[in-house]
Amino acid sequence: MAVVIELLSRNNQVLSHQVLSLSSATLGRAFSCDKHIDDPYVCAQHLNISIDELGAINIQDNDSVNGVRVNDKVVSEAQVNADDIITVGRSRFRIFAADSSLAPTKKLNPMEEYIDRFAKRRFFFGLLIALTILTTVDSYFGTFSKFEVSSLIASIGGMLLVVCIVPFIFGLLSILNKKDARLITQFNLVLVSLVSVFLFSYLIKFLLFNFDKTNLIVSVETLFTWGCSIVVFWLALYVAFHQSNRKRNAIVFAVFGALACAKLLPGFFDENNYIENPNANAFIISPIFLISKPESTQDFVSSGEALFVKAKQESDDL
Amino acid sequence: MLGLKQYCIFFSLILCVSTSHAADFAENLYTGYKEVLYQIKIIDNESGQKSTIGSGFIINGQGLAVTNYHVVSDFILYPDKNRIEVEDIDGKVSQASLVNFDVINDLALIQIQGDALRSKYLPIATQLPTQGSTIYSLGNPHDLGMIVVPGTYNGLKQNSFYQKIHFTGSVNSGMSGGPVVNESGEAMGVNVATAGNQLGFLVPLNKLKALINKNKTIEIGDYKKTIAEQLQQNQRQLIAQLTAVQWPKTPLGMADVPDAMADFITCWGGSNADDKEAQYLAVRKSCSLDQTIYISRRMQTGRVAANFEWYSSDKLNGFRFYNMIDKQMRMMTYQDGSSKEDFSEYQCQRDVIENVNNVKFKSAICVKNYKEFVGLFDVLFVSATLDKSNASLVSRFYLSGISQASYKAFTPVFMDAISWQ
Repeated sequence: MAVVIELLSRNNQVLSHQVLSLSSATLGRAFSCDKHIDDPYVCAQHLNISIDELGAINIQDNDSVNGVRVNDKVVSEAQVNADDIITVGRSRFRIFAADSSLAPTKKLNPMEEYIDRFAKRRFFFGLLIALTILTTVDSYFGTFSKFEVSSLIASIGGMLLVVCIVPFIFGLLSILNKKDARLITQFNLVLVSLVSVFLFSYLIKFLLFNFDKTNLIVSVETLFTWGCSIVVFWLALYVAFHQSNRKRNAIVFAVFGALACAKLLPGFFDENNYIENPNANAFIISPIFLISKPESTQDFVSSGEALFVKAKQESDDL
Repeated sequence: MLGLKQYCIFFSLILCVSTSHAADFAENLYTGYKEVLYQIKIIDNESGQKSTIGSGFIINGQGLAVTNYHVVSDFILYPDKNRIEVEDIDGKVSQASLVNFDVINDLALIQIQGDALRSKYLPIATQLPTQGSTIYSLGNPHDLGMIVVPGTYNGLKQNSFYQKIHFTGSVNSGMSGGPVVNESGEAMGVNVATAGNQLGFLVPLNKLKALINKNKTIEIGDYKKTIAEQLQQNQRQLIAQLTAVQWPKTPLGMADVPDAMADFITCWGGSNADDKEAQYLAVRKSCSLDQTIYISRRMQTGRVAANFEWYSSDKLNGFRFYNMIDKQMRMMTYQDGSSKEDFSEYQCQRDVIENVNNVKFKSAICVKNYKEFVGLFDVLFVSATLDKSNASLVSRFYLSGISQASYKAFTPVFMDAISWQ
């Protein structure tokens, strides 16, 4: 008959693990105990453990100073199994028979496999180079004053700094939870999302130049950016922590819900929400990208008449 | 035979007589005409404080008086919150009611209440004086009592849509609404605000006579409707005159753009050609109507403005060049009034256009509605040509206080006036 004693952390991660092939054992601070606990709140001979013929595990408080709790209830003796958390002093344990049935084997999520494939160094360097190129291209074509190498270096440096923040935080949290940091994976996730958002923004510029569905196109861009951020955040959590899907979904929902509220609520309460300046922005880019067929002057003037109706309606509503 | 000496004596005698005559006349103005001059005040009913002061003058024995629209605009726009009060040269205060007004020419007629009405009033001249004759601007500025500012009549302002009179005296804002009298002591104009030192403008005789001859009192509930009607009529005439004749062309960069669209539009331009550090050449041309119409402290209207900017660069590649064009286009030019109470938000649309001269451009047009004045809108248009890889013409126009029909008449003329050389 063997007994397994697992020392747990505050959130029930297994810190250490011992198997005793005895039918009875002692647990306490004394070095002579079968299971020694280095916790000043535990007595020398704090707890007695015994297994009976049927394999049931019994524990007994040995007149300790701070007592024994099973699932947070003070007991002097109890029968315990793998589901019970036993608190002794400031230490937490699980005590169960070595041959208790184990949880069924989990099938590896195919997502795990993709993520593993993703965690290659060559992806990291590839994505980093792509992002640097995009930042350079954007900063060069996005300005028209004299091109300064120093300001380019500054913007690349700034971009790299920002890229590092999230992966390092997640990596750190991972380590604190006794998991691998998996930094390369975290970096790759952030880099992929930044590159996608960058490329998508060029597509948006192209669409805004050619088509007059401004509100629709801008909404698509917002949706894409938020969607990308949510997916990456979810995956980062997946890589960093062992959590149930429900818990992970709840965290993602809470974080992005809060962000969305922070962005939208001021708009609802701002009664003076009146935009003085016209959004006359015509979204011009190089005419190389022109694909839409031009309208005639008369058609443009005629379709502009709808604006008069809209303006009147809007002032009637306000 | 008279010698040189005799001529000098004779000439100086004439001079003395004429200047003393002028001095006498000015003195007469003080004594004779101070009774027809009033200080006009708009009083806020709740606080009892005055919000505007100006001048006015009586033109008949029943207490009908003339002043500027802008002196009484607070009352016209908020008649239930304000009242009109007048004070004569002796300090006696009376109430006044509004009879009629002309917002385009900044005139208003008020009726002074009260029993002890003066027998003295200022007659209206039958015609304008001869060019070069002396005229006298009277008014009551800043609680300083009556002042007289002499000046020279230089005729009607050349090329002005609103036909104001040139005046070389300095008219300051407290004198607004006061009369301008000729050498016979008749009113031939009304002071209007101030345009800086020694260059003022006055509302001429015919506009004043037209308002008086309407012989009509407007109901309090119809003030805003009347403003709207006057603005509508004015903009109809303005836009009709602007679109009546083909516009002259002038080159700008590689394009041909309209020059001054009528003789009452003035254009001026500039460029950055002397800036050695510049990454691109920018040549600008702006054309506008010389005046706007004052409606209230926070609203002007009746603006006509057109801008053309030619950009070209051999230092910037095509992508960077059009990035720069995009930024230039976003710069706002005019905003004659913008508040939630007065206007709707701008509604905009954008498109790629090819005009009759096969010029391709990306344009945006924005419209906002006047809440209080039915059928009037502000229209803003901006566009940039797309035909050349390193050069582009940015054109804009801004029309404030126009009707939808005017937009329909003006916009295509403007868009089709642009061509490549």
